[in-house]
Amino acid sequence: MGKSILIVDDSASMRQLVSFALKDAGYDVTAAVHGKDALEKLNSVKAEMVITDLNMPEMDGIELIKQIRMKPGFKFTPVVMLTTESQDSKKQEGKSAGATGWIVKPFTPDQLLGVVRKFVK
Amino acid sequence: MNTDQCRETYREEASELLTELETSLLELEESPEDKDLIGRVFRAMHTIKGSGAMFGFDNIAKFTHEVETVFDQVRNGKLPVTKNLINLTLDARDQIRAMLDGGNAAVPEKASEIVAGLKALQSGGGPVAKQEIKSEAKQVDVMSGPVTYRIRFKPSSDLFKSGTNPINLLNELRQLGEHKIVAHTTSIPLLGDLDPELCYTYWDIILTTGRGENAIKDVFIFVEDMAEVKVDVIDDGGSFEEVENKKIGEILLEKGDLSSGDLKRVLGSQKRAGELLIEAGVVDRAKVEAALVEQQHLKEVRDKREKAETATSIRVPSEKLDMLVNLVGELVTVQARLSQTAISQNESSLLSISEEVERLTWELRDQTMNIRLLPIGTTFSKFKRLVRDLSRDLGKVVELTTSGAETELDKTVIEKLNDPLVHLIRNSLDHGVELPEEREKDGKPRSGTIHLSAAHSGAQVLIEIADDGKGLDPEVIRKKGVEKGLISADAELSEKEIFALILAPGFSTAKTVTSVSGRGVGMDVVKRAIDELRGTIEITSWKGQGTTISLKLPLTLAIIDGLLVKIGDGYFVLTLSSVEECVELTKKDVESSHGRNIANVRGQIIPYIRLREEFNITGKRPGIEQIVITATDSGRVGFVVDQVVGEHQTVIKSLGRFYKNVEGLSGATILGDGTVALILDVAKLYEKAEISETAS
Amino acid sequence: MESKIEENNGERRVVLSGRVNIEDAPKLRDLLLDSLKSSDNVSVNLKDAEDFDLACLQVLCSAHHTAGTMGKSFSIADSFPAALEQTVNESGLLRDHGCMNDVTQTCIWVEKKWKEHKA
Repeated sequence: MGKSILIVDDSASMRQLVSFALKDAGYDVTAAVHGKDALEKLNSVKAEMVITDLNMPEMDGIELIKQIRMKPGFKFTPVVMLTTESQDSKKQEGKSAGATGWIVKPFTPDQLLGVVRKFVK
Repeated sequence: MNTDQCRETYREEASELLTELETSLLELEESPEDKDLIGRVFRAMHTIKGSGAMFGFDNIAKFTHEVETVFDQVRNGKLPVTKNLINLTLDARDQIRAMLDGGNAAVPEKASEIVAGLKALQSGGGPVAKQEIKSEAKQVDVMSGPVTYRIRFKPSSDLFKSGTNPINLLNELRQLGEHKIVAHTTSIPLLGDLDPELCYTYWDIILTTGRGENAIKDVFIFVEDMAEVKVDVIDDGGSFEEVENKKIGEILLEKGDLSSGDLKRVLGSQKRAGELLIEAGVVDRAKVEAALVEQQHLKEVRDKREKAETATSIRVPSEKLDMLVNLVGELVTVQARLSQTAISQNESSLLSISEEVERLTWELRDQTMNIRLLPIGTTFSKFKRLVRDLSRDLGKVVELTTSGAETELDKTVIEKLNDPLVHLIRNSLDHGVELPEEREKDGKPRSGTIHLSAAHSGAQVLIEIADDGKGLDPEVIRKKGVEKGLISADAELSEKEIFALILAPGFSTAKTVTSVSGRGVGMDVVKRAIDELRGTIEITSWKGQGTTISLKLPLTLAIIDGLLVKIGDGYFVLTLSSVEECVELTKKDVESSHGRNIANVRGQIIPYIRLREEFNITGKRPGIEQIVITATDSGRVGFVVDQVVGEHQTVIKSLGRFYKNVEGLSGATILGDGTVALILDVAKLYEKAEISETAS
Repeated sequence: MESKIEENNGERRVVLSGRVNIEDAPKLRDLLLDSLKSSDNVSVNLKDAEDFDLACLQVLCSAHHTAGTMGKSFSIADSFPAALEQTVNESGLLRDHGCMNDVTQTCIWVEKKWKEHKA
């Protein structure tokens, strides 16, 4: 079984795209629709990496990152955020919240995997 | 995975962006200086492109990329917003919409029209076509030598808290090239003071890579603001004169691990510097060790380079080389004129200068041609992938082996060779190599082999594509040739001539049309491409054992050694490499052959073509004519001319569009006195004569 | 991380098993600090441990340094598991000589030791 990754995005097509690319590369993927959902999923899934969108209903990506850093067992888990170019300030906000890295949208599956492989083998 | 749903989402998104794009463009037309609007247009294109690639709309992504490139230049102030640009972009927008609506079905003509328009806009706007330079740069990148860097990576103590594992970063660096990594542990405090969640370690990394500093920076991209990353070039792959192997003390000084005062104080005595420095307690042992490692790594890198004897290289845009070749071409022409003048004036001092200039010009010509030579191996590597993908599609097991990848050829030739080689390899895969089951039945190994080789032979390069497949069946080809009216039923042909039939237009032996090698229109296209390169193609095959296709190509396209001949008042040039000998043709010989155009050369019958008749040259024929005997694919052929002038350095000029369809001429050259001489296409002339003969 | 303490002729051996990474680093630190306080001769057995990372290696390094300043000894005992060797190697810790803090010249990252233990 591959290493476990949690993908958090409110857009179904993005979730599908990321899941497909990661599953194809042999990772075990769990998907969550927003921050709250993600935190709940992390109670049962020991994800070794989290990929999260920033703009989401219920709980946005920045808050999710903060919560993950406070959650026992996930203090040091790599968290990568999905940003767009125009969100440079968001990128900074995310980093201060404890994000490990970012992927700029749009990206190709290869670029995604390039970043993911930086964190989980 | 519901790809369709993803694609549908993308369609909707792109559709919205296109609507927005239209509005922005129309607004932009009103206020062409508005940076916000330009940015909006760029982003819309950018998103359409990026997501397009993400969801498999590759044609949209590719097309949009072209538009985006233009707007990137507009954004950077390199191109102005003009009416023409707006019009083209609006057309492009409609085109993208059409692509979106028509699924992935492209409307290629319209798209390429728009792209051409945009390209013209770019080249007119100052900066040269960016794309081409890029690919050139890539090419040269491979050839530029590796550079050695010293990287100090000192993460801030809360690195772990961002989820970063420094070992992963180190491993990424390791993948870039040869490396030595030393961890510094002196800052790790005693257990009582240790916060186990902080990072106290820092590193010195010595890395030799050809991937450039950006590749290193990419590794640290996410920790830029959480770490001190210092990258220094300590060996730029340059020549040896400037880079003496550094002493330990110097390295430590450079890195700021040691003060120069301390160094001088300690270096008073004769012991080894590293030992002394540690004993004196001015530097930590690990730091000396890191410096030692650096010293050793550099020495290794330099030793290796010395062995490889790879000279340093500079990047030069290919246009500059083309310019140089043109200039050399002109110089060769002028030099010829100088020689002629010197000879006619017969003044000894001028003659000796002219000879000197001639020698230098030839040397310059050879050197210039050499610069343009690239190893063919760059093309070879692409074919591995082709073979892998195709054999999978065809259900065959085929291995591609190559040799002579280092063989050098003119850059233009290499580029033009790509398509024919793709075609030939596809053919070998599709028609040559059998399915694994068939091969087993015939007692062959399941896996077939295609061997691609290149080698120099004189002023030519020999390229062979050899497969161990089922080979060609001369009988089948012969029958087909008769069927297609290419040969008469009773024609006596050698095996070689029969195989050459498959190069004829419209010839195909494949029973079914496959997607791989198309409808059998391939081989004549290959032949034409090779002809254009002034090369020859030869096929040998053994039934059941395989087929070998040999291509002979000239090293360069720009200047050839030619034989200058004269007919009436006109000058012509034949490629010297195809000329075998020149013999006289007397009236007596003509009479004894009873009106047929054949000559008896030392007992061998050789057909000839009268160029005077071929080109309708009027005027009186000299009493003794000359036959220039050439070797072509189909045997020896003579060309009758009035006079053989001699060898001539021929700078090839193309004939221009109006003469594109003239058969039998491949170009022109300018002689020393300014006269134009036409370059004869020997193979074409012979082909033409043969056809008219069979017709009559 | 699971731990077990073995006492033998005044030597204290800390036997670790399971994941030993940053999540466990604080626990590991306390464990080793206590051991060094109560024994002159401490070793850690990592034979059945796995999933090491730099944070834990830093604790081991610190423990060795601390032992030196206390005039005590600290070492890695018995066989060195391959996963540990890999992490030590990947971190760039393996070396020919100890660093400035290695006053007793018994640095636990000296390559020769790792080669011997492998054999």
